[in-house]
Amino acid sequence: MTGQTAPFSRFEWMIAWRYLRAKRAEGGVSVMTWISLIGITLAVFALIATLAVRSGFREEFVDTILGANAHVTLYSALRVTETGQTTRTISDYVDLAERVRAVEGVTRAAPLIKGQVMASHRGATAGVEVFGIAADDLATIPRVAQPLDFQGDIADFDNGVAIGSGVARELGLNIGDRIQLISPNGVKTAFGTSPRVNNYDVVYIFTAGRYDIDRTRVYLPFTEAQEYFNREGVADELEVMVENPDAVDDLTLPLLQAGGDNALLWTWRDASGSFLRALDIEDNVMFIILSILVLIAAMNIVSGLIMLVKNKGRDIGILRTIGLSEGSILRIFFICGAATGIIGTALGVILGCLFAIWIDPIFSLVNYISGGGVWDPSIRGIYALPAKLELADVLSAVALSLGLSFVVTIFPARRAARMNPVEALRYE
Amino acid sequence: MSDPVLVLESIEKTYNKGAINAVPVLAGIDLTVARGEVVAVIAPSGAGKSTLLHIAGLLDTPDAGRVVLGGEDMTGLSDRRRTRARRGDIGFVYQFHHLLPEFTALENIVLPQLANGVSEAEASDRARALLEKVGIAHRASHRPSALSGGEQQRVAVCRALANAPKVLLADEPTGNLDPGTSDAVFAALMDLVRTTGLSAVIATHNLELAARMDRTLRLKGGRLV
Repeated sequence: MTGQTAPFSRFEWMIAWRYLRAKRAEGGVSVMTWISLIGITLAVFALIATLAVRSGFREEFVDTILGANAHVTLYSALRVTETGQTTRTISDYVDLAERVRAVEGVTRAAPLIKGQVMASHRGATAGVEVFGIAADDLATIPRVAQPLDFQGDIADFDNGVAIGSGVARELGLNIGDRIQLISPNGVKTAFGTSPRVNNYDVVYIFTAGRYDIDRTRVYLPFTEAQEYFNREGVADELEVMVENPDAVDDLTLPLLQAGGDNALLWTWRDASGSFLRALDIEDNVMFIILSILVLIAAMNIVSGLIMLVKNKGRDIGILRTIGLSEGSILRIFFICGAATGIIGTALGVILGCLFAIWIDPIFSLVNYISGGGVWDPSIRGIYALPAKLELADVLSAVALSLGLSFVVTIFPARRAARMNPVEALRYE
Repeated sequence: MSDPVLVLESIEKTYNKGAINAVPVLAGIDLTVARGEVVAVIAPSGAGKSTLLHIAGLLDTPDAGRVVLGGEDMTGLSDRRRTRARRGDIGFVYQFHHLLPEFTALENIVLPQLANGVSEAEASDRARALLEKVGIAHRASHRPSALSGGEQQRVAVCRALANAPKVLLADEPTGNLDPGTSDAVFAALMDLVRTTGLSAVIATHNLELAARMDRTLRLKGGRLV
């Protein structure tokens, strides 16, 4: 009777399971197994949590850029007017906007007047960026029309100004207050240009979700802005939103064609590309560092397994004597090591996912324990630490952890399999 | 004499061969064991009887000579093939019981059968029957640490016979037991061997036990006489 068994037969699992559960007195390595298990769990947890926070941060960052800013800004190259002056303004902005809207993939094109002025209220002053925009167009900026938080009514926009919550806080403004805008380029007189000082009712206060926007942005009705900035009959640029901002580069050619000879483009990628690239590089470096963490944790499995193999030398000799093949021995010890990797990885995934889901209370707790100030929106740009679980991130963490634990397990398992049974029993 | 079950031909073995501290252990062993025959090998400690049994049991390879098991020449076969022969055709009993401490008496006898492709239920039945024969069926669910020396050795004998091998190799199976227990275990072993019609090579230095076997050989100067 010389029967054969398939690899990973039940008895191999049975022996491996007993060894995993064996107490230290019986030559098992339960303490070491626990340490490896905790190591792998923490490493996978750290990997998933970090990847989730990175994705969340990136998404929130891009979202706030795209939700409150132009995906593409179409502006004019410097040209000489009939009166011999140089200008960048666009005079046929209504037609131009129509032509740009007709481009496939464009969802909206709004003429804009832009200027930086000083805002003042009851003695407090702040530099702000004024966007002159039509009420209909303002209502289509997602992060302004549907902000995180708002006061007043955007429908009243024609009767006043809409300001970011940071501006309101800085100047102590509320709905109904009057904000004073002071521009150095005001009325041109025989004695030079005198500053222009206008007062406007605050009708709408929004929180777009980005610190820099909320802290500096003021929206003024378009016709009012034309008058205020001496732009009668012209616009500074066209704020273009597109269906798929990720593929914005595909629209470059049609937009330039629609824009005419003088048109120039400035996409959101041009504006934030270097930051996003830096974020990518940081993501990759972070992944490498955390992979090393997982590798170190996997090494714990190796030391645990080497101890197990050493302690079980006599058993290996017996098992070889009663006819277990080298393959069987290899698989038994491989299962012992891999089980630690699998269970540790599973626990790490669960912890990592829970962390990503419960990030707000966890973050609050950390903030509370450290006495606050863990997250400074003026540095990060966004207000909270977001986390976003991506299936691909979780899968890459799982693949990395399992791959490493399986690979490192093979070496001690192979050593066990190649043990000479006679030698193994001789020294007992 | 019927067909020989185990034939050793001109077996030679030297440890540290070629080195200055070379130890010649076996110098031309010839042994033929017939079906159902029980051979005693008597030798003082260090004479090489364990080495002889390891070579006969395909755990070790000789420097020269042939091992023929059940008519098949095992010399130069792959480890895989030798392992398969060890699993199905050879049973081993050591001086120390060498049971697996994490497994119960029953499981220790079931394991070799599972490795040989026998179903769990069938293996359990056979293990129980073997334990019954050596009179310790009531200890089936105990781990080796909870068994007495005699009981442990009986379980070891049952394990060696679990896959109904062609030949049993025992290396001083009762050498570690007190005289009373030793007799009882030896009796149980012989009973099993006789009832199953098995061939056996049993190394011992107990002349009284050797006298109860079919043939007695002495290992002297690396040769069997």
